[in-house]
Amino acid sequence: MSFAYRAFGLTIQSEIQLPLLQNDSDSPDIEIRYGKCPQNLGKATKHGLKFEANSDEFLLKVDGCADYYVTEGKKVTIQPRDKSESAESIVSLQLLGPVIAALLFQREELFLLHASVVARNDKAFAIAGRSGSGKSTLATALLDLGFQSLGDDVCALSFDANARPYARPSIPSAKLWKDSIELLGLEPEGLKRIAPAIEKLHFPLFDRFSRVDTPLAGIYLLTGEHGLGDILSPLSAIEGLSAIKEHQFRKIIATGESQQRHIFSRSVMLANATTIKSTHRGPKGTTLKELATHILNDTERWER
Amino acid sequence: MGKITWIASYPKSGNTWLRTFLATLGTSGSDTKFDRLQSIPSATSRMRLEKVMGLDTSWMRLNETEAILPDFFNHLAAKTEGTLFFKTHHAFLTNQSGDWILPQEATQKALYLVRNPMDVAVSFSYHNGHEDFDRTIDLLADRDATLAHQTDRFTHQLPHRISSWSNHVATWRNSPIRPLIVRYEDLLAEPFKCFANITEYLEISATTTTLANAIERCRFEKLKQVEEEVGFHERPPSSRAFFRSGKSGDWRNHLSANQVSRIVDAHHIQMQKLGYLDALGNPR
Repeated sequence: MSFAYRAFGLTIQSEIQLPLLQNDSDSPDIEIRYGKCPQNLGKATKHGLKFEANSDEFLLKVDGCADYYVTEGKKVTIQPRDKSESAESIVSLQLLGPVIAALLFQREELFLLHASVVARNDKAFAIAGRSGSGKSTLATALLDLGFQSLGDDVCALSFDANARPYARPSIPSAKLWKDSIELLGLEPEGLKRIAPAIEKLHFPLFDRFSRVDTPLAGIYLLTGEHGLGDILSPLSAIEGLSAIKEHQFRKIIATGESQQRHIFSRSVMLANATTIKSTHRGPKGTTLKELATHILNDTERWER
Repeated sequence: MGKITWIASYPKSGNTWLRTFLATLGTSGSDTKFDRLQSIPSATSRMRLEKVMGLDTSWMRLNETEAILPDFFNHLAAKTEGTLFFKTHHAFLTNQSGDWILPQEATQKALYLVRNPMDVAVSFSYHNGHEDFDRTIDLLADRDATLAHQTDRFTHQLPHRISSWSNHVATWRNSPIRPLIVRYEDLLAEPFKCFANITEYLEISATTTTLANAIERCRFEKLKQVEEEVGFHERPPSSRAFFRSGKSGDWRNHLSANQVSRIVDAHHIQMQKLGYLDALGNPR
């Protein structure tokens, strides 16, 4: 049995179901199969905590869950260590996290930011920040104000010949904690947990998802803290470059000189092409809707 | 290949004060800054683990977290030169595979800071944003007590077991890494002598002048003042102030006779060993 999906501008043929992604019927760019992973890589140039990699291969071993082997920017092999249904939800999390990141690093086509992306009037905005800073929550709140989503948690950027960044549709499903779901006034009924033991839920965005590469106008960098004074403060070019470096998606996984060079050159292009605004939550008592409205008003003033 | 030095304690036992002192020691001037605490990060920082693993850890519960931590600390030690400092509130326990969560092979030294549980009970209550001392006394007696184990919201810290106050003390006292045990009350009473002992144990060279300077810049009143002026990033949202009284014996102003005897009943063995009870078993 095999399924076909589209994400990151690629057609993914997969033996494992990935209900978070949109279906597709093109000829596949990527294959995900069950199989046997190598014990280790003969020529690893990077040894991470649970992974090994060189410029063409990536091997991740998650104890009690599964092993993943990625090659040529095309093939993913999964060897489950735990066949239970609950483990399957965690496998799909890891597939759409470090595994897809390793594959995209190998392809050297896209630059990945740890951000959710929204778009309106042919302008895309990345909502970046550390885990727990409220990226998915704010991005989802913006959908109620007329934005469309271009993906949750990972912002995939391509660059045209003039070094202008475009956000490419990534993952059409937001991962939201129960307290965020309540804050957004959403109904948790019927939503699937991302993993058995936690109340973090998959919130599908299919009906508010854009399928078009959209020029990236700017990046809002969430501090996750309340603050006084201006909610938004633009970063200087050098601060921006350092913020981009800090907020790359799963950058520890990128391996080899060629991948590193690709990432560095794209970071510089991105810093030159966009404005990044540090964004706090406003004074204590500021509601999510007020913050989202503040961002909406700001995006209307944004020049490219 | 580097090694880790642990700055360990049960919560609200002076860990932050000690870390601020160590982080200030190597600096000149007269200011007090919390930013320097970054040089002694928390062993349970989710962000740090995610950075090194390259994956989202929100699906990991206590068992999965404890399973990975020994590898994580060994990995960090192997990747660094020299000494890494980490703050931790972990009790010194093993994970389900029987491995120490804080691995011996990656450890250089450990400082274990301990404070009278009567004062901890008061301080921990305020820290958690309430004055229900009985509830905190239950927490101090709970051998399965775990911090950051909420399943419905994001936590910056990974879930970690602190166990009961007594078991926390006992597991560290009997741990194979043999920490230097320092009482918070002695640090307050004789800061110069105690901090000098600590730096000597950690093999940090410090002159009389630099020691005195760092002690002065990290006085409790100063820390409290800086928190009032610029805030403190480690203060939990529910707490009014991280640095509240800092005194020893403040429990006498808060705890009832019944609450005192509940604490003594639960913890008298370790309290006696640490000199928090007199020969007759009465609180000092």
